Amino acid sequence: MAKQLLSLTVNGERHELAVDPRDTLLRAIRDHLGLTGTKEGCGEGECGSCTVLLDGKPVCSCIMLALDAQGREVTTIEGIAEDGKLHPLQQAFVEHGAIQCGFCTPGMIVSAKALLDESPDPTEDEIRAAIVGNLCRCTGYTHIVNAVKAAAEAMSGR
Amino acid sequence: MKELAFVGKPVSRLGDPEKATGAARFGADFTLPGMLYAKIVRSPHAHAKILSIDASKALALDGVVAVATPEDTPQKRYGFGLGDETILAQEKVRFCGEAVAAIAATDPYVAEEALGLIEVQYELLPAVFDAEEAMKPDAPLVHDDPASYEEGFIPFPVEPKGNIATHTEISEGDVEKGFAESDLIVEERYSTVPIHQSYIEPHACLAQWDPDGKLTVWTCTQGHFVMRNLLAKALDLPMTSINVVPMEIGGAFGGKIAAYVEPIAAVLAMKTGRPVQIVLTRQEELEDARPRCATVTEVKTGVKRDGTLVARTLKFIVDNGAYTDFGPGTAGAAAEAGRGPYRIPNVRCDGYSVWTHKFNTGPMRAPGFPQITFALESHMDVIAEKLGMDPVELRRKNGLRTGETTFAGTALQKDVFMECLDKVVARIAEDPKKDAPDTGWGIGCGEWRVGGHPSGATLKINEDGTASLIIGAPDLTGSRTSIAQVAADELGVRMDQLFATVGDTDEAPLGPVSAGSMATYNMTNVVRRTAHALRQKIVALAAERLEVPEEDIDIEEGVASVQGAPDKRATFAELVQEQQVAITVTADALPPTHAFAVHGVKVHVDRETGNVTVLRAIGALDCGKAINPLSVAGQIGGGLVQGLGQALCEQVVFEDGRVASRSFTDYKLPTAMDVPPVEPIIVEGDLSTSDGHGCKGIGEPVHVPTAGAVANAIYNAVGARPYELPMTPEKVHWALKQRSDT
Amino acid sequence: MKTFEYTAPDSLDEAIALLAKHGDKAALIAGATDMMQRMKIGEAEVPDCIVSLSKLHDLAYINVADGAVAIGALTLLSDIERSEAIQKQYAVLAEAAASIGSPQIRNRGTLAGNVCSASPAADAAVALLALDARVKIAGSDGEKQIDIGDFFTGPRESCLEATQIVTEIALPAKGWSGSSYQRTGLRRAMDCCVASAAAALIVNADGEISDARVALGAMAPTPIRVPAAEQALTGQVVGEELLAEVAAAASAAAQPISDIRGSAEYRKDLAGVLARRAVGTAYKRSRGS
Repeated sequence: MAKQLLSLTVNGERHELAVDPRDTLLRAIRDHLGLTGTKEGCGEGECGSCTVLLDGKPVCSCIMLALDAQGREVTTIEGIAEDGKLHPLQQAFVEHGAIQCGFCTPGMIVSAKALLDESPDPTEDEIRAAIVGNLCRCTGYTHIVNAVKAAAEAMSGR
Repeated sequence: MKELAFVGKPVSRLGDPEKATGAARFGADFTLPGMLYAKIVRSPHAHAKILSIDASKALALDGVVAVATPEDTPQKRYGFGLGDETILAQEKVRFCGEAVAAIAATDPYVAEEALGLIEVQYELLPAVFDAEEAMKPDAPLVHDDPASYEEGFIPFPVEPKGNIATHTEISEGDVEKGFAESDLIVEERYSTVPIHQSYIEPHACLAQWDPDGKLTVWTCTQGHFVMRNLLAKALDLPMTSINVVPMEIGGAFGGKIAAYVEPIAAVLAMKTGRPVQIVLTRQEELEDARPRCATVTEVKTGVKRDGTLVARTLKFIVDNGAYTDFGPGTAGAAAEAGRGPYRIPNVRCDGYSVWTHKFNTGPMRAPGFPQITFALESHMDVIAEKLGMDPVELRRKNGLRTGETTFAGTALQKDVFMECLDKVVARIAEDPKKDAPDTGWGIGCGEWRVGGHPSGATLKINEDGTASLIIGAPDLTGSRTSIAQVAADELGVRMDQLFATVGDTDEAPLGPVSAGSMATYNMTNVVRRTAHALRQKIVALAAERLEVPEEDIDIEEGVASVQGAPDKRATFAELVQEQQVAITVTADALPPTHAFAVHGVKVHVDRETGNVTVLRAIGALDCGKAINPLSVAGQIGGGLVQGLGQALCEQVVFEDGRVASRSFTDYKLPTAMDVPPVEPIIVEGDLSTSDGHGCKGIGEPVHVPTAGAVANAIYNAVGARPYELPMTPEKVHWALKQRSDT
Repeated sequence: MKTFEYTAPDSLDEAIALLAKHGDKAALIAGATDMMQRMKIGEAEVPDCIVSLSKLHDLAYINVADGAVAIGALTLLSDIERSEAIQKQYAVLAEAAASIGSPQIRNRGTLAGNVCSASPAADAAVALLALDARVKIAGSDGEKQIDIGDFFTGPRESCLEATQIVTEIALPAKGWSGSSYQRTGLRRAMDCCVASAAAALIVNADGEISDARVALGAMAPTPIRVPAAEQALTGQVVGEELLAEVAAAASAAAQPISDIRGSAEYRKDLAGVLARRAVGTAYKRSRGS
């Protein structure tokens, strides 16, 4: 089947890509755009390591057809840092031991960012519910939750 | 002694900012021009002769560049304890999912399509899927002539009898006499199922064969030296022809040591002359990786009325799957630890590893110990109840104390087991809601032996005075940072003046596998020695340049100065101008060390559905010296939560000769909503002999006792005790029903 | 995955025309969270042509009018979860939607998608069955509306033809006093339920039930209602004995299978437990607690 044209904005930049209709948004991001920060952990929408923001909302890019992102805005982990400086979430993850192997980290940070954008002062339960679709095998989640709380505090100037 | 600037402090880990921004490179993040995508053809049958492989239709598909069959490999056997594996199944397949052939194509969609075009003819053979059935004399044999196999990479004495690959027997004292002297004898049976390491990153590797005869393999591996060793054997190449480059690794827990994906990529790379990438799907991980083996523990313990443990017999059966890998080591070590962390004078423990026609198994985070500890710690609570004794008191009475010898052969210098236990118990006592309905706390105690491994490190001062440390142990768990902390403190530089890299097998000195909790234990030892030796060189250079005796030289933050005359100084940069200052130090394997862990878990059980909610989780670890306390706390958290998964929801379901579990849909890892915050308790003071400040292994002991603690908590909550892991809601439901029926 | 042609029509009419043209060679996707996974693992056949409804933004709405709610087919599960109107009047649906998958799944999955999957365990479908929902279906021969109970015909089978599209799910203005969704699984989230139950009640000022719906998920080839429980509840005030009767009726009505998630015997026990809890909670909510 012939390739089809996909126009979308990724991390603020417009792109036009010729994609195989079978390509997932994840493949478009990783293989076509070389943004390998977003990961494939299961390919079935169960682990969240492929999480990106679609018009600001977290979705699993591994079970979304790339062509379904036509004309949409996508934010990946590479688009989270601001002006070359770590986002407070990224800084908090580093400071609170929330990163061990680092494979779930991009998806985790993207999900957490979406949470804080909507709820600047989340409770522990709200944080855990927001990242429930992001599996982590290394940390047991404790330090991740601590990092998100710390980032929330830093961002609100508390 | 001067206070250490970095050791003992919660220093942020090297490489974390790259991981936080997505810049860190994992195995699948890296491509080469002309790269081909490979897919593995797998057997649909559990046990069958391979009659023929016809790849003609696949080769005719546009985009398929090559198909590898056993004829494309040296057809040599290799493996861990025993050399029983081959790159592709030879002559017969021994489990459903075994690799039979492999395809390399220019496009991953083409490779996938070609899978359906390879025609393999099989002749089915009878199969056995249960380890105890496989032990019977008339069971179909998995390996017809295992005596003909050569020894493996870490040779384990193998004297196969039928499907029983190994039998480890530990015998001390006189068990018959012990039982005769006992006031009470308790005999029970526990079992566990296979669980998968479930590293979030599936196996990913890239192999390239240069025309001048050099194979480079980039891969997610816990041990690139082990990988090189296995590749050399499998491909019949000298080690100098192979360079293994360790990528960032997205979790491993023991499952990324064996070489079973890389050799296939290498064969295709050699056949095509192009780089070849293999990335496993999550389903392939469940069907053909190296998960934790299923086990059966039959334990019989004799005890006196006052709680003194007197005698124990134990039979521990490991369902090894089709090939040996670490099965013998798993069964053997668990048998050696058959007492648990307790004093029992008369024991006979038999550990068996048994072949079955199922997926391979491999080491997973303290292999054998989480399984046997589930049994032994549940068993301790059962004994306590029968004696009318507090389960904590039973453990205090029999737990190892200062001066006593652990199963690892180490003598306790401090009462760390009791300290771990006391601290957990004290925390539980503070809980005002510990007696809420259908709620209970449970305790589990465990231990782990950390092995030694030869290691080395290279440390050099660069022309600008910064220091580069090159080590050969992959950074799995932050070991690189802990190692850098030790080096920085010893050398006299700041953390930002020192950079630690994990070098590939061509550049780095030999390092241990980052497994078995060995990395920090062995590497901090050799790195401290290396830094110390380099520091002495610097001191000598500085003394000469500044014309003072060596004893008068101080080193701080990369500057050598004279005591009492601070303006007489020389920076590292100045000192290395005339002379390269670099050193490589190697160290023999350290003797084994030992660590205890105690977990306390609080659960609520829904009596009607059987659902278990974990309300609190406390993990105490005896770590000798916490080089990086934040890292240690992180390991405790991660290990304990993996233990909760093993206890409550994880299982690879096997039915009708094949894996029935579908990816992460069926294979349930604990999510953030399934677990509480983990409360770590770090206990220091029982130091190892390592020059690395006496630190011990961390990664594994933290995972050993959780399932036992959960089982005991469930019993304390609602009086029901499942004897099988995982303790799913349905299992708890039936255990409750059984109890109410009796 | 074998290849396919992808089109994203700009209007409902265009979508209907495409389906009329391709017939059963085409498949519709909305959020595709269920469909993509099943295609990838080979459980769903990859069609020759995929018709993506991603551009039909007009089909995403939650319209509240005169106590009734009309939910456009492409409304995201996350929007249903957060809708105050649905939380207040149709708590069972908000709870069911909130229990599906993860935030990522709910930000792509649609209500109609969950219904059209026709899985006997589809959470939103079970809740909708307890709410007397009506399903609006459009095709080349016009539009029609059917009861959701008539929509499901078997496990992952519905009466929807290859040329038809679900456009809206309507919740009639029944005036439910209280409703509840109860489910149980192997973990707290990201879990196809082992069993579920939904209940919706109309209760008068004296605490008497004037109308009741009890539905079960994962207990039969389709989501089912439990008429015996509903009859037992009608005209009654809820107490321990009545709840026990509801539980017994639900267990009796349940005809579950054994699968990798649970055995039939366990599910039959759960049917009673969850039906009782759903009715009990719905009743408490009706009484203002």
